[in-house]
Amino acid sequence: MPDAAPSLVLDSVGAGYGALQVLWGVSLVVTAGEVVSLIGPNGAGKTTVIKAILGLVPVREGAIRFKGERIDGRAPEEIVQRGVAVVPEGARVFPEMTVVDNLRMGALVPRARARETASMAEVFAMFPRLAERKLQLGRTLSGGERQMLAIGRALMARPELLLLDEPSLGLQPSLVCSIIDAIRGINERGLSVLLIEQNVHFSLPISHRAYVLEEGRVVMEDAGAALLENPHVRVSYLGV
Amino acid sequence: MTFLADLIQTLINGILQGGVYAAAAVGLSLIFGVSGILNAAHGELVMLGAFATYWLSTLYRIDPLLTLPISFGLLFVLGYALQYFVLNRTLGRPLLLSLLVTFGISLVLLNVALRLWSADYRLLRIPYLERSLVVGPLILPLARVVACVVGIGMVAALSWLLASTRLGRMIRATAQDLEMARMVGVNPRTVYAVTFGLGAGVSGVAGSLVALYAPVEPNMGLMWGGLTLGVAQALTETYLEAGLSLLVAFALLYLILRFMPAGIMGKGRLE
Repeated sequence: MPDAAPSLVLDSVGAGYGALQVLWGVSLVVTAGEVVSLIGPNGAGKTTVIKAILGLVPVREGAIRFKGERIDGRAPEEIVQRGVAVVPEGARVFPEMTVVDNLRMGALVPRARARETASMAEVFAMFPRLAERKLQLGRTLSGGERQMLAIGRALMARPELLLLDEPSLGLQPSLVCSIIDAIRGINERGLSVLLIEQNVHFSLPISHRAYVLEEGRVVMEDAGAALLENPHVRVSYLGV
Repeated sequence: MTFLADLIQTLINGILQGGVYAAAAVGLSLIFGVSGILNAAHGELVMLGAFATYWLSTLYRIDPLLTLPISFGLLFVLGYALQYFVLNRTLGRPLLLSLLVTFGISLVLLNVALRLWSADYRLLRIPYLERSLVVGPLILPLARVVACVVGIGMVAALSWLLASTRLGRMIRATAQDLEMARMVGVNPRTVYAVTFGLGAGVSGVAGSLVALYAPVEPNMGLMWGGLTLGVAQALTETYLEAGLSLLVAFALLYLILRFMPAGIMGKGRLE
């Protein structure tokens, strides 16, 4: 069960690219041990939320705190060293690197280096498919394997907070289920998770809470299961 | 028979030269492949490496072969500093800007070398390398053989570093997906500086190897400019776009004509 300490706090965050403002006063909280989903239509700014947390998009207003410390305005490489890891949109495995080297890159942050070997064994136990493809290059993997590798790479960093951006995009339903199961398993080991996922009927049941983002603003917040029953969400995101 | 023997001998000299070219080219292409910087000062780094070996063995009586790691270290530090303090400011800007900056750096390095050491040719005397290996009718000058072997060894060492070390993985990851590399904790500014340092170090050693068998002079770097042009074109075709390769070639030529109207070998006009 989630304990009380907030892991990640976005406080009225405004962010954007150049003249284009994408996020307007976005506030959200991920409490330690929680799975929090962020849902919304394409172009609502979900990916920008993750990029703002990681310092890839400048935060113009408001503040972002991780474990109580301000992280907005910091460089991405600094933020991830504090215990944030990401599975970015499209997995973005290093294409010309083997599975093993991709995983090793995940363990680059100082907090994870000493446990590289143990972490890799855990990742291979979680995704046996990756163990069968240890020496294959990233670009030769299937879409599902890339997502597994991206999740494994993120776990190698021994993070406290995992950000996932559409980890099931373009995957067949059976693979979506196994990715969602993996996320649930990761959370049960104590990691906090912020999840962007189109397949809300898969993601909301495993989410403690969820936020609905539309046109760069948070328009709704509720328990995951409750949002699944919400008429607006059912019409907009489930097509019911 | 003599014609054939001469031809074969010439070819062998050329092949032995290839090991040194390989080391110099790999230094240039590493920098371009990772940082997207076309290093127009490449030839000057080669020249500085050659002078490092020349002066260290002439003034301090260090065995020329032992100067190779020192040459690498000196050029590594210079390259690291150039990238960290100067070239990192051109990150995310058009290719032409870094080309212009490195071109400026090349002019500075060349003119400092001319001022300090004049345009004189200086040849190292290394008695124990002046022998030749005789294989049947063929004569293999020992200095060239050593240079070739060490040059190939440098390329192999660099390949090993890139393939099998944490630093190498960081460099490769940065080259393959900069933003993702940052998202796993890579500081790109440091990686670019180390990469330029490695490229400069390898190029410097290439210069040191040339100094084992050929005269050293500040303008020797200009000859390596031809290498820059050829490699730059090939790299542009591979990594950027085939259509851009002519643009890059002409941009380089424009810069050369603009700043060296007396021609590449126009000595005496650069004082």
